[in-house]
Amino acid sequence: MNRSVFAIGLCVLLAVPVASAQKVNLRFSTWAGGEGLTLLQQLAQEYNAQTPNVGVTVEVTPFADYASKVAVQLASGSGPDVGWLAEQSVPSFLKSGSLKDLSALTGDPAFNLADFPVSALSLWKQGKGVYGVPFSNSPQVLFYNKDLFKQAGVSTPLQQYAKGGWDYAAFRSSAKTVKDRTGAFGARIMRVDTKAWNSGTLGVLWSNGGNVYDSNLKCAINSPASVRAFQLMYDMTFGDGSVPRPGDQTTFQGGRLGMYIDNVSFSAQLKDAAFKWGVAPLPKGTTGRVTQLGQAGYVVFARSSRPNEAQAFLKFLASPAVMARTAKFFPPPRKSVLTSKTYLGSNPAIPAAELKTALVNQLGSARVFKTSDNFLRANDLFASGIERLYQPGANIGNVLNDICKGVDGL
Amino acid sequence: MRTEVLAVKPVRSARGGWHWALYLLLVLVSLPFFLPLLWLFVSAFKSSGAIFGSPFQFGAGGLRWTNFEQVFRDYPFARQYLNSVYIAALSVPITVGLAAVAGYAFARIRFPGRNAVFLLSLLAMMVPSELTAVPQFVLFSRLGLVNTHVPVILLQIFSATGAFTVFLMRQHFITLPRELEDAGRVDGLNSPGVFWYIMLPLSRPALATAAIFAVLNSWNDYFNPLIYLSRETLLTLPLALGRFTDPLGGVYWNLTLAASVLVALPVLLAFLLAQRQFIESLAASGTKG
Repeated sequence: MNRSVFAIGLCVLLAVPVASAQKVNLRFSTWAGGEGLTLLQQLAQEYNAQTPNVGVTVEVTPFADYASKVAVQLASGSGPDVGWLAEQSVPSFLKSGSLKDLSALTGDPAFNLADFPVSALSLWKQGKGVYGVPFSNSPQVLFYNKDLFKQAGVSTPLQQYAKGGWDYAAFRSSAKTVKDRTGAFGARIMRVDTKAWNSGTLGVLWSNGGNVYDSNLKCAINSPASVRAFQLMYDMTFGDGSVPRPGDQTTFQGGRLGMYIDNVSFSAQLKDAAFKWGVAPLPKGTTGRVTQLGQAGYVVFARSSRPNEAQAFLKFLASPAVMARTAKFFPPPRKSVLTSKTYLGSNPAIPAAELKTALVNQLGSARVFKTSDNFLRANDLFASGIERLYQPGANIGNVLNDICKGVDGL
Repeated sequence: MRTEVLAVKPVRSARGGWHWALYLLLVLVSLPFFLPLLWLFVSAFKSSGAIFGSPFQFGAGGLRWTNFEQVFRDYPFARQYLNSVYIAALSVPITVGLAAVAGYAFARIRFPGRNAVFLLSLLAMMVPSELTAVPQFVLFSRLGLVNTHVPVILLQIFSATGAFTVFLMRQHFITLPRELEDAGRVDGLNSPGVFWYIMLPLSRPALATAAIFAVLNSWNDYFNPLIYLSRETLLTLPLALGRFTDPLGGVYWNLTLAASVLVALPVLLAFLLAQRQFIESLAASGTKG
């Protein structure tokens, strides 16, 4: 009796994979939230309707834990098939061989990889291989509070840009005037969380000839140009008092900040703002107007047991038609979508002309932050160094030298 | 006699003065704990923009109940709440029941290797869960149980929480007089009878302690759900709190804080209602700070 029960049980267990082999189930991993997630779930359903033999399950993980969770899943052999990957995770996933080469798509006329600017793909290429396709190509823009600028009697950044005078000197003096005449802070460059120090800071560094790493990925944050850029931000914080000190929680949404640097998707947080706001390009520095390009892309994980189906699903997600829909939330890398009227009119909070000036026109000089594959550890050193740097009386050059000693010693 | 009364008075007033000083000190010490909680409750009713303004002013939007509406309307928060409630409702009685049975066995039944088995069970408490996470994940993955609540429930019952409650119950049963057991046996009870009719009724405070720990650990568990659950509708509350974001992951603080209030509320209410038992339980377990 016991033997027959065991045998039946075994048969049932063996039969399950046979029965489920009829339909391929793909797992798609993302950190998307809110409406973005709803759209992805809808796209998964539509794909299932188009290709009835492939089902897609959307899996979510909070952004903070995303890269480590996916890495553990992959290491234990139960990773997702397709997923999102943020730019800072790309080097370590490439190094560990976790990503599938998607070169097959390069020759596919229907996919038209040439529609992506070369700069948009540089992060995802290694040798001759293409290991991911970006879906979000988001240069940082400058959000400004129209009400505070009006109250201070200063021309808005967009007006100053139109006149050709929008540089870091104008940025500094505008911020100081807003502070002096309204009492509100003139600008926030870095985010509240010092771990995200590079957001905002990089635009100032790059536009003024500074850098974080050199071309060999050696620390360069202590170069003379970088020191000068940090000196500017330091002086605005402690000299002018127009930039909040680290630890100060004043946010742009609260209406007490004149300017703030962030990705255009930040506009979703301003839905119920009690003030008028606009977007403008970042100021011009001594070496140009360079803004940070935030990227996130679709990848197929190398250990997927269904690589062909996974690649076909990625092709669907990154197709022009689908990218035109996801563009509502994520600035699209495809040139054809980016310059379309549909995209420029897709964000009801930002007029098409403003979006074109602040975002589309800046893409040519925007830069992706390329990091070393030990960036997670290096970032702790950068963040703690930046905290020491923004202290009254800090010696900027010495602090930056210390950071580089630590980072290069990792 | 009269001098005695006179002598007592200044002592009493001095004690009264000390009491006031003590209360003042306690109020001051409680502020760092109380103010963040107050900030949480006030901010849960604010618009996203007003949260980081003046801490205790509501801003132009006034008192916003819409945060709470939106949490349930736009996100599967009700489903996630239900997940946490049912996981706690399922894992806590099993954890406490098993701990009572195992604790009794370790305390009172003589069997070969008793101490070795007890030490083995304590290992679950002593080895950091991060060390066993990968092999456990591989095991549950091969059993096809990833993205189900089974690993989350089983790991509540059989990991550190389970081991701690077994230890707690064993220590409790050791302290009960053996004579009670003998009296039961004289009256004709066998071992299960002694356990059920004599030992368990005497163990209510210890069982309450074990239950409180099990509930708190299950309610606040972040690590196991993070590893095993990836579908939005399967998530439990600690993970759900990280899901109120814009499409690229920027946090909607007004929604996150409204949801945090809803998560903290049952624990706070339970604490207020069962304050005395809670503190007695902590004191009994020797973990009161």
